Amino acid sequence: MISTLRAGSSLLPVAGLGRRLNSTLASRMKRAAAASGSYESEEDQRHRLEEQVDEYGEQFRELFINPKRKLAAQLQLERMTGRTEREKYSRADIHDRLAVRRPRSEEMPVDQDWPSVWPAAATYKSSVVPLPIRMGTRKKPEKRAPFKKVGNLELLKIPNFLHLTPEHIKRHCEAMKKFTTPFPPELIQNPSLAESEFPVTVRYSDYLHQGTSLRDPRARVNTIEVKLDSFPDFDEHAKDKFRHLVGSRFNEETNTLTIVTDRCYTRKQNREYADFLLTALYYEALKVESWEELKARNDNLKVEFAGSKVEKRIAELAKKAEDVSPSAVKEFAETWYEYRNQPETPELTRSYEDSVRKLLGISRLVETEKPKPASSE
Amino acid sequence: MLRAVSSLIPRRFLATQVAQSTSAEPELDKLFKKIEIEVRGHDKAVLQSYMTFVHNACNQLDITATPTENLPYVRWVQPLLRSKFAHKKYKLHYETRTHIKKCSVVNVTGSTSSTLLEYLQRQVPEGVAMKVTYEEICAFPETIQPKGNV
Repeated sequence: MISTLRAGSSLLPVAGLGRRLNSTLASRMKRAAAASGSYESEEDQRHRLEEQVDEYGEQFRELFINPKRKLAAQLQLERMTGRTEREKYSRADIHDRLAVRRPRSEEMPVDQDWPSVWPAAATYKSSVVPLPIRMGTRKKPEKRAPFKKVGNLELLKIPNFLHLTPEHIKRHCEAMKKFTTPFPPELIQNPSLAESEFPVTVRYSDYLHQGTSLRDPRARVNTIEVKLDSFPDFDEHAKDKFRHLVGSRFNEETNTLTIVTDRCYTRKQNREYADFLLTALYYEALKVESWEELKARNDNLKVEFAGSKVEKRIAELAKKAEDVSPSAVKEFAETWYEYRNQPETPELTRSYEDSVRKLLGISRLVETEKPKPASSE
Repeated sequence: MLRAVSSLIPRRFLATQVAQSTSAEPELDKLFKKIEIEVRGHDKAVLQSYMTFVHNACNQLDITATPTENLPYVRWVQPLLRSKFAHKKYKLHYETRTHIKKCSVVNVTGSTSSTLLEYLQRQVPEGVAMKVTYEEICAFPETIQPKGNV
């Protein structure tokens, strides 16, 4: 059995740290080294060495048959039965082990200030977070719960939001409020005012991602939307010319012009280019060129009733029939315009048919769900 | 008419420039009709938590925000051969799902939007990408001078 001496202890054998250290010889040496004179007097020593002599003149030498120690088996029995005191051996890392405290979360009061404990984004620390969380897959989760939080790698890998609790957000927003400005309430209450004061809507995007580069080429795209009615000083001619200039970028239903610019490298450049385009369109639309006199009926954006062949035929008809009133012709013109200028649908065709029957006074042969149109007078 | 200050709307300046009194023309605050925030990531739970945070922050700053819109995920599939050689019938199926969530912030000024967006973008968690689409309302460019002004 090897005895372990404490670091820094003296070379003298210490009681309890080894069986051979308590032998008779060892105790003899101890006494000899320790005592100075008090152990054995001169007289006693002389007596032992010179007078305690046998018939052959030899000193009395003690015979050690039974060692002054208990055998291993006996000691083991005593230990097992609990009759001896177990030696408490201290370890080399005793200081480190004494230094480890209980996890911080056990000392936390329930009403503590969590934003002070977890002020910024940090990896999950199981000793700091006082929540009893478990995470991990099990073959049979109903039999064994998922793994506990101590030493759990899965809890470390996921992003946590412990730095964004409602209390955190409240404090951050309190600090940020002074940099915000209120939106003009007049514009919210009165949307037409917003349209009249700020007619141009600009659309652009910012991209935030973890790529190899900060930049995203999609960010330079600029889209501008303006309503035709918001252009100042536009008369019919200007609006018509504008629509001719702009082409397919104009949406008839919403009366909106949409310009998408992305030919320049930066967003600012694209925006300035879009502004330039708007300016150019505005002034060009207001200008009346000399060659615009050559505009023919073919150049119109919509097919007009005035000047069409139908009008001529109806005029001839009116001369012959004499029972076609101008109001009826006007009604017919409106339906005809709708029919000619919109994509053809069955409903539109039917309404056109009805208007023709009405104008010419032709009734249907077969009764349909629709009431018979009265012949015009 | 266009460029003259309308008596109905007092011109708002940037929050950081209110205190300044420089001789130069101060920069006017932008006006945004709508700012759309779209987040994409592989973890649905992380995106959900982030959107909760976004709504919380908007409430605290008195900003009107639309409810979160969940869009269908974008799937990227990669089939690979399971075996080193032959056995074309047996493959491995790997796929990536990018979940998308959207929300909009309505009627904000430039100062408010830059404050809010910087805050939100600083707190974006790992593995999440964000796209911000601005809809700014502004007047005609200065080069358009209506006849009344000239």
